[in-house]
Amino acid sequence: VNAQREANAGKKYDLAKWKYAELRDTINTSCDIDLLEACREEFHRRLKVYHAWKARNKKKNTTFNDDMR
Amino acid sequence: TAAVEEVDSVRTTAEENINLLLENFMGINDAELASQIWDLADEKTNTMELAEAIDNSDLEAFGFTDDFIFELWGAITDAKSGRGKSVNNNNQY
Repeated sequence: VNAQREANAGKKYDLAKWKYAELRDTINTSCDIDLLEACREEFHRRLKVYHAWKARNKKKNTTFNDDMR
Repeated sequence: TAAVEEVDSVRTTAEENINLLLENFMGINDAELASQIWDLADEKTNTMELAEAIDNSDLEAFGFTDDFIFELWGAITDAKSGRGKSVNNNNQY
């Protein structure tokens, strides 16, 4: 939470609080290039974090299952 | 057996609620992620403790906002108190 706040402090748009549907609708309807780019970045950030978590989680579970054998 | 079933049912309801919030806020629907959030929240007594637990876990990188954590806590306490699925009921008004 704190890291997110610091990361957003210097940005023009604070999209961390935006819901998925708001980001998606803005990307589909807005003509503001800066806002579009910010939405795309926020999307990308969320996806990247999710994939990293997923990979780490999978690894942990695999190790755990191996230990069980 | 009844007590075990009750705990399972609370957990299932809470995880479904958490998953709905994740879907709504992050565009992510992941039962494992919802389950991990439930595990973190299970023995916490308030929103601040949950926020702290998330910040000290793997989930810190998601950068969940205070508002989102507050909503997560609401979904969890609703499930614990038997209020079931209350997510997004504000949209009815």
